Amino acid sequence: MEETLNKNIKTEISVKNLNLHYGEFHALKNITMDIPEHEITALIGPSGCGKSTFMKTLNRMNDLEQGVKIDGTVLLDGVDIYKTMDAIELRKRVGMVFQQPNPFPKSIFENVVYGPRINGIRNKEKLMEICERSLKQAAIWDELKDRLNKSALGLSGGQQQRLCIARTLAVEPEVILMDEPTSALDPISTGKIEELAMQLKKDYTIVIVTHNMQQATRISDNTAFFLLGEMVEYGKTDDVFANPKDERTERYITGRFG
Amino acid sequence: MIADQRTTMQKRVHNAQRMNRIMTVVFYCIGGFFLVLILVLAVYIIINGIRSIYPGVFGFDSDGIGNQFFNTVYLVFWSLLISVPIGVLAGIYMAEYAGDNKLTKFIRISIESLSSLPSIVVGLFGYLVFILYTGAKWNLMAGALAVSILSLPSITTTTEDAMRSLPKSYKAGSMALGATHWTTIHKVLLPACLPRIITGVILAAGRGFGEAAALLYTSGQSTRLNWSNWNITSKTCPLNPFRPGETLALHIWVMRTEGSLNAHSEEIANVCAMILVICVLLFSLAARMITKHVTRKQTGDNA
Amino acid sequence: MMTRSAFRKELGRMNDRVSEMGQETMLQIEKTIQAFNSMSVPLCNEILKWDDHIDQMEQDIEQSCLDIVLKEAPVASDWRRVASYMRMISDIERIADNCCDIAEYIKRLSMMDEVVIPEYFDEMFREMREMVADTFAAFRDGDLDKASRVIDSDEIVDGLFERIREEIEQKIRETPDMVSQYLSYFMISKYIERMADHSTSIASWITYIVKGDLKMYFTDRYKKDLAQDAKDSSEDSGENK
Repeated sequence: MEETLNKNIKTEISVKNLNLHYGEFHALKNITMDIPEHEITALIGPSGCGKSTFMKTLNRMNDLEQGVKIDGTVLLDGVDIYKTMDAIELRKRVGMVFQQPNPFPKSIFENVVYGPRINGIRNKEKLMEICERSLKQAAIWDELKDRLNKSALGLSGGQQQRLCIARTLAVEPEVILMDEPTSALDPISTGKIEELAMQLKKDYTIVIVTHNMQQATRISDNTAFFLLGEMVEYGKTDDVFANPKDERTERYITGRFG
Repeated sequence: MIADQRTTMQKRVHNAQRMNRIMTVVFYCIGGFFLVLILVLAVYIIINGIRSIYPGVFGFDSDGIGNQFFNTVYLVFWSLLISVPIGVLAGIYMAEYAGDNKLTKFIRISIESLSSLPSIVVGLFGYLVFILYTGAKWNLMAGALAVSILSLPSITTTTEDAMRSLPKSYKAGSMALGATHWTTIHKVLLPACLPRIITGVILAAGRGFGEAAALLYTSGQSTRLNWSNWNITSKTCPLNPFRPGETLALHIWVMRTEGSLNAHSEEIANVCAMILVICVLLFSLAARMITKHVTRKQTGDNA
Repeated sequence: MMTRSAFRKELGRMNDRVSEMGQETMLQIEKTIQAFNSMSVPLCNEILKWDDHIDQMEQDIEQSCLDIVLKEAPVASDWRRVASYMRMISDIERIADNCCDIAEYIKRLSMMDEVVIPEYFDEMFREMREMVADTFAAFRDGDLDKASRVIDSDEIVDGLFERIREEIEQKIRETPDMVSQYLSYFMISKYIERMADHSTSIASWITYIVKGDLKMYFTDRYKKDLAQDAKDSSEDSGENK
């Protein structure tokens, strides 16, 4: 079901007739949607509905798994990310934050500048500058600026997650994908990361998978509801939550099962 | 009714607790047994060695074991130089590149078989290939190669296990930042495995230090070094690996069989044994210390 | 297994309570009409006393709504329902209040000399009563058409109010010493008009529950304001004749 939200808003990612098979299993069924730039788009749905799988097609992380077959088109700024773009290039433009914070077993500084380093930046001052800028963007500079050389694994869960966000920002992507970024965190850390997402959307396009519907209503502009591999409904968050068009959406968001 | 149930219950609990106490004692005894065993062994050998020290035993002539010690170190150095790169790369291959197919299973079985080959068999293989086939005489390098064959499987397995035990999130995180597979391996995964790999290498070195059977017919049972000769092609130059190089462990064997020619044969054997035991213990200690240090650096001061 | 079953039950109960409040208010309206026709003071007192009961119902339902929003964070139709209940009970309570206001004026009239009752009162009462009854029926059945018809009927009541006003103006000019009575009748008719108004408000919230469309509520208000402005300006120009 295709929905273009507002013809005046520029589309960052355009998905058409996307189908994904894990071997025999048809995991994503004919997904078509446009993700607008500089907005937060939330993907909701029950476990196993395909929302995480769908998000991983946007940065080709599905390539890392065996037996995955993908049909259809995904365009980033008009360029086909499967047929035309290189996966490595793509992942520099579409970053990802995972459900469990996953800093490398290195110092905080080394974690943040990992991306720029592998992109060839060696100048110590430039790297320091990037580190400061990224940590500031992730609203964690003040907390960490005096211990950049300490190991990242010594931070709390919430700090680690914000560090991972800083690490993603250091590469200066256009899109940030967040896979249930706060489900492993306490309410205060969750609040900080939601606040961060709202700040970041001015400069980045954000797609977030979430189980927490209040989170979707709090921070997202658009919401897509997935069920059993299909995208059942997609629209502005206010509309989807106040007046969903599909019976299945209504049942899911009001918690009416059985 | 309830009173009866309670007594049966009490009896059951009492029996369980008694069994628990018995097993606790058993476990402590076994632990103590091992402690006593290693202490007795080590202390006996070391004391024996200390008592056998005579002036000149550490000398670099035919009366002392200095040359043998140097040979041992040099041989282990060469064997590590060969087995570590190959082993680590093979381990990376098995963990990161090998698919889940028959070929991989076959490779795995080969590695396991290689690791359980008797060292004398490896030594004979070394004799056949590195000595007879090449037409060479006994030389240190042949011994180093034989020891490499012995340590290769353990280094490979250590590396593979270390890489597999890493959280999959490291690889995912690195790939998601636009790194290639190789970049991820050598900038994130390998460094993260370093403690375990170093431990594995040091332990392999320790075993190579004490290897005897594989060196019988490869590196030779004698050694004649001239410490003023630095012509690398000469047979008496210490740095020439293509010369006979008897090691400490082998020296023990030699001293206790044909060594009746030497007046100090018994003492020499005891001192060699002492040095070997001390070195193996030092290796283990070094492995643990390095692991602790690297781990602490990686996981923060709280670890 | 049905999930959120406690929430479902609570929502069902609130629906029933709102209906019940509507029924109570209907009863008050019947009594009011009866009191008007019979000028019965005891009946008026009954109406006045019973109003406390309806006020209490409003308070209770409102508190329950607030609790549900806090605890259950309702979305979609659940949210529209709870939000609408909160607005609707306010309008229902005002209708009941208006019954009391009318009862007060009936008591006053009963103490003054009788006058000729202006025409159209019966009709106005009847229309208003129909509208309120239809509104509650539409609520019970989720009947959008009925709700929409209620909103359209408001014009009729407004028209009747105009005619009564003109007539009362006339009567006051003819019999100036009866002005107190006629003022009372005027106030009563004003209250009837207000009651009809409130029922259209309730009807548009019903539309929000079923269709998720708030426009009717605001358009309705907006149309009324427009109509009021038009009338005011025409009066001004008329008075300058």
